[in-house]
Amino acid sequence: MQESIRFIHSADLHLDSLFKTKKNLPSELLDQLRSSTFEAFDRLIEEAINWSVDFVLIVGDLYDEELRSLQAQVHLRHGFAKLEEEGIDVFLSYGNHDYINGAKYPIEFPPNVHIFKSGDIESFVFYKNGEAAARIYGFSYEDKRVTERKVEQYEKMSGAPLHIAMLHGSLESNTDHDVYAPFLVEEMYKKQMDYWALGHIHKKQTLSQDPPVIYPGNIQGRSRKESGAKGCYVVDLNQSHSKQTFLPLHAFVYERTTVDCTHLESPDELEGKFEEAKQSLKTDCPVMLDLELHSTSGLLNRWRMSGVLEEWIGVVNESESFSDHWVWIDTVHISDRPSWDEDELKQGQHFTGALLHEAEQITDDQLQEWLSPLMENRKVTRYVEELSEDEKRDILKQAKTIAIEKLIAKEESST
Amino acid sequence: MRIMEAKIYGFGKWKDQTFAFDDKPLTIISGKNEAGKSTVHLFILYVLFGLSPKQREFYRPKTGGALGGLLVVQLEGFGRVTLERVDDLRGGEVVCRLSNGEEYGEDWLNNHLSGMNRTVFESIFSFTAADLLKLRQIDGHELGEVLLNIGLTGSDHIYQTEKWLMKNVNDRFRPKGRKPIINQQLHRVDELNQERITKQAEVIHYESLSELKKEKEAQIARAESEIYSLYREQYSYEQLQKALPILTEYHQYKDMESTRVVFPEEGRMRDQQLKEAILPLESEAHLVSSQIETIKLKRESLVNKIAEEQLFSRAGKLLKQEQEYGRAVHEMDNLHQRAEQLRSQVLEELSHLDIGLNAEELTEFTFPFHLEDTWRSLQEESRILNTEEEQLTDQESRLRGEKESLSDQIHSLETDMMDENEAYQIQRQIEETLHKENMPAGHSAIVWNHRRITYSLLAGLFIMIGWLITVLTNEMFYGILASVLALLPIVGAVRSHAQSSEKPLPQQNQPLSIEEWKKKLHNYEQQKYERSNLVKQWKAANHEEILLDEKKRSLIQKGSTFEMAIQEQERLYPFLTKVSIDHWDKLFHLFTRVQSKQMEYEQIEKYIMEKSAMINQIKPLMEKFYRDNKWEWDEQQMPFAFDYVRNWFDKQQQLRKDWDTIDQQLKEAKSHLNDVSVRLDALEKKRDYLFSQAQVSDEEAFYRQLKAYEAQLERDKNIDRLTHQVKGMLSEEEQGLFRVWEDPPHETEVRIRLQESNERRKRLEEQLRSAQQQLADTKSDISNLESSEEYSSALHELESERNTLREQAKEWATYQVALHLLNQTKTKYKNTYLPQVIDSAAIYFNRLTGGNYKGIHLSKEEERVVVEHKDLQWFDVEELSRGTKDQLYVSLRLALGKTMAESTPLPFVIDDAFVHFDEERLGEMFRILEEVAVHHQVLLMTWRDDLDRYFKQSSVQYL
Repeated sequence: MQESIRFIHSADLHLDSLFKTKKNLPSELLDQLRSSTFEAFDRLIEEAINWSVDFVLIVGDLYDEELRSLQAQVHLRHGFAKLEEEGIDVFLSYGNHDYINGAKYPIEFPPNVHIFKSGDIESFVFYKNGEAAARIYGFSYEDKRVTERKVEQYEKMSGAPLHIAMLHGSLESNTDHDVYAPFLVEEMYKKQMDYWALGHIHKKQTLSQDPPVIYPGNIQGRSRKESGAKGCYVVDLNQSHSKQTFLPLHAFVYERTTVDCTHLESPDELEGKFEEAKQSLKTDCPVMLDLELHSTSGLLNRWRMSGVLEEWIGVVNESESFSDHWVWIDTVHISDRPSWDEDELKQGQHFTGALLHEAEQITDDQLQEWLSPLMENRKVTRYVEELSEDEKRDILKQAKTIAIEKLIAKEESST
Repeated sequence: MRIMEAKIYGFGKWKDQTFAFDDKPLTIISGKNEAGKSTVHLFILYVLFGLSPKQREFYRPKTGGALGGLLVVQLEGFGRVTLERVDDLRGGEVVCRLSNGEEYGEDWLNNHLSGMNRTVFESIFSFTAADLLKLRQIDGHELGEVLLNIGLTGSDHIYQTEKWLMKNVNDRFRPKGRKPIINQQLHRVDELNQERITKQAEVIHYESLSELKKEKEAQIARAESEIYSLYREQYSYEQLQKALPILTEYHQYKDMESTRVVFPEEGRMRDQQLKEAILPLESEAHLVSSQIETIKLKRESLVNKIAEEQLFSRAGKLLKQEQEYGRAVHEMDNLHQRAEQLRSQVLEELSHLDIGLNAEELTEFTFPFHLEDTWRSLQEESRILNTEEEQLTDQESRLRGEKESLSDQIHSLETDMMDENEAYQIQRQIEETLHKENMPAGHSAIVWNHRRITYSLLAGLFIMIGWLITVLTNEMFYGILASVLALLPIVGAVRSHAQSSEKPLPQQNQPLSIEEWKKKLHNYEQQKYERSNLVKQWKAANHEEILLDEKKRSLIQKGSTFEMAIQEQERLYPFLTKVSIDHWDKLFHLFTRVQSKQMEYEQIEKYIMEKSAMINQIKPLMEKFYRDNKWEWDEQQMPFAFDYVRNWFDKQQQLRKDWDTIDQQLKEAKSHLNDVSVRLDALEKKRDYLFSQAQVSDEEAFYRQLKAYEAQLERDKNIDRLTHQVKGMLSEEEQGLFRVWEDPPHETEVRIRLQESNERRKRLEEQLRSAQQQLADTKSDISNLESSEEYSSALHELESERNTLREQAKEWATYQVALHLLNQTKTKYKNTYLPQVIDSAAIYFNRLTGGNYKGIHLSKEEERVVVEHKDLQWFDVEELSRGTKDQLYVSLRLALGKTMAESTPLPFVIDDAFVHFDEERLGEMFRILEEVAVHHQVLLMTWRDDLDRYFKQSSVQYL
């Protein structure tokens, strides 16, 4: 009676996803980034076959926004066809990034793919050896936003021993992301499902163990905010027990590490530090590195100001071959004592002090006006989204910094 | 702040050296080049602001020992404060020791330097010959601007920064530019976007390609099926071509027959068979006809010999009567004898009976079968009635006697008996006397009474039963027997009564003893009882008499009934009156005997009459026959007449038999002939039918028709053969299509059609190949599109470049904001401090130029400094002589320092700045310095050793 089923729970494939890259990345790296979501999906298919799962769940966001590219669809079809050969079913729903009404060039999937095509909760019965083994519930986003409490609409039906609910949405309390189809874990308990397969949140997390209420996260990190291993869960489920095993699928990972640069005196020493940071990584796959340099000397800021830091990053990155376990220094953060003390400077009547005071009084409108020559340029507005408040703040801060650095950076030049 | 003393532990060339600066406002440190003036200057900066590691390394004493030292400064509000900075101690941080022994660090010092860092300090409070040298490198328009900035900050940093920022901004973006990075990047992104749009169009093209693919597939399927049918058509035409000669022959045959010859199946044979059957029948018919003629002749000869049928039948009838006639003649004799005999017997017996009847009357009476019984029973009844009458008379007399005897007895008893009253008296006396003695009396009387009742009941019963039976049976005997039986009980009863009443009670009237009374009474009782018995007996007898009377009446009734029956018989048979009833019985027998004889007689008489009548009937018949036959009649010949007639009759019979035979023969022959002709008829009809089938009327025509028919059969065979051949070559559909049986196409036409079909097929095949190629291309295009990463790559590339653009835009924004911030600050700063600085500077400039220049102004655009000559003419800074430029610079620096020092009183450190001043200007310069030094300490470092002569209040340290 205790018939177990095994399935893969995945979500947020974001196939052919575009990456927020820094400037001037080499084309090899861009290729690697571009193909990463596909590679991760290919691994998902391989793992499904290796683990001999009964079926695969994909809980929304198969595509990334407008980029429901033909290639992504063809890739999906190809992968699903492989599963079909192995007799593995696929149950998928669409999420806020690939909502139904935004679909373009629809390609038909093989018959083993069961799609939740409605905005209302529907269900499929999965048959194993000719007997109903599980009922799978789900819905798709018809439009970009779903703010209803979809969880309330799930009703357990008869006809199968196991009940699995697919839901693309977020905890009501989670305001880090767009809150779609909000729910409380308590509401899910009431629905008496055997497994809640969630999607939408890209960081894997287990909201509840019994019954399992799980986000598998996305299958490929796409920015330093989506760091660490990414993949899916293979789930063994019966009426009394559930076991989830995480399977990494990512083509590369975003990682963060910190190196100490306190005793550096010369910028050329940075190279060694970067290499040191790369060596310290404990992954067996390519890495996009978010590096934090720590120092108290104030030199790091100065080097950055002068562009020498960027140069050294470039030098180190250029030496990467992209053959296998490459590490690309994506971003560098600096934690260092500034070469000047803002508060100290502000006390005097001298010009820098006046400039600091002035900077504090800059209004948004003024800032906008200063930026308008570029930011309101017709072409630029076409390709560059408006800067966020944070970015503007950051720009102002940077502007103040470089002005003052330049104003007072006499020592370097005088010697 | 005022620096009192500098104690160097080790710094550059100085080691364990102390410089004391006295109270005089101006301190001159004089020494030759390379004497270490700048090192002292730097040492002071080192203690106040620290140095970069590189510089520290540079100034580390070559002879070893610690880098560092201390300054003793006079600080307002704190007095003497020692500031010690040693590189190896406390991480190179400064230690500030107050006079009260308190120690503070870097922050404390910074606080008292009023947010001054080395750069700012140097730009405001310290200037060197190098600054002037640098100034000289600035040319043209820029100088005014630089000097303006110097007026603002004491250095050209603002200017440099502004330039730098401007360059960064412009290098990145110019609204109309092409070369700046962002302009280029924009161009690149634009291009990539165009590329993306093109690629996207390709992807959109995918859908139309899918449509095209479907269309082509359908087109190919259509073409293939069409080609297939064309192949078939071509084959059909080829087959038709082959079949055409056969069809020509076929149609030749077809054309030959105008009208179909009709001929019966197997006509020839059937005609032969009919002929063979008809011939013998015809000869047989002929034979039979001649036979009939012969028979007819024979029959003619017989006809004359045969008598008339009426005669012949009359002879037959007569002959049948012959035997009857003979028998009648014979019987007549016997009958006559018998009649005579019977006549005599009857007459004899009648006379014997003597009942007054003649013979003829005898037969008038009929004697029904029961008459004898009636007569006998009447005879019996008469006897019984007589007997009963006697009995009744006897009984009557006996009863009368008995009654008389009983009346007598009663009468005698009554006379002997006391009367009732007396008996009652006696009784009362006895009862009174024998009050107690209650003797049961009358017991026997009661018994008697009982018995008597029994007997009389029994007697009554007998009588009743008896008479009942009598009535039922109508037999007097039972009634009588019953009455007799009834008497038996009565006799019994009387007898027993007689026994019991032997002792009657004596009748006594006299008063007697009780016994006597009793005896008397007893007697009385006995007598009384006896009397009642007798009365009863009398009554019974009386009753019997009544019954007897009844019987008598019924007897009389019977008698009269009987008499009526007798009279009835006598009426019917009157002769009975002449005979006593007692002989009726006998009479019956006798009478019936004679009657039957009389009846026999009469019967015989009747027979005789009948026979003679019959004889007399036959004779005239015979006579008539004779006469009709024309024979001679003689009555005497009557006995032989029958023989004669029989002889004639037999002859006639023979003749008739012969006639019948011949007639039979004739009939048979005719019937035979009939048979033959019927068979012939049938055969003739068959033959006629045969001819009619062949639509001819005679045999000649029939055979002509046969010949034509045979020719037609041959043709049909050929047509069949050809048809078969064509059908073997062309399908049914093709036969219909080409109308081969009706109007086959001409060979030329077939050839043309074949050619056309062939060409059409080739064209189609060409089209098919083309469509297949197109399909393959389309499929390949689709496959390419599906597998193509171009669009995706383009998108990603575009995105990457957009990201770059964005990064660049943000960088630009940073510089742009910095630049504007700088400018804005500068504008404000200019408004706040610049007038004051410029005013002061103008005074210094005036003094230093010996009154040649009376003022310093800002240009109209306020972006640079201009000077006013004493003749009111304004000059751009670059127009001034080098010396004047230096003076202007120094004036601005001093003015700024002086202005700043009002809020931040720090010492001025001037290092060989006036190297190039002439004596006059130098003197004035020092006077100004002395004026300044009144309020602010001034450290003047110079290579000259003769400066003390310029100063009134100064201390000089010679290195």
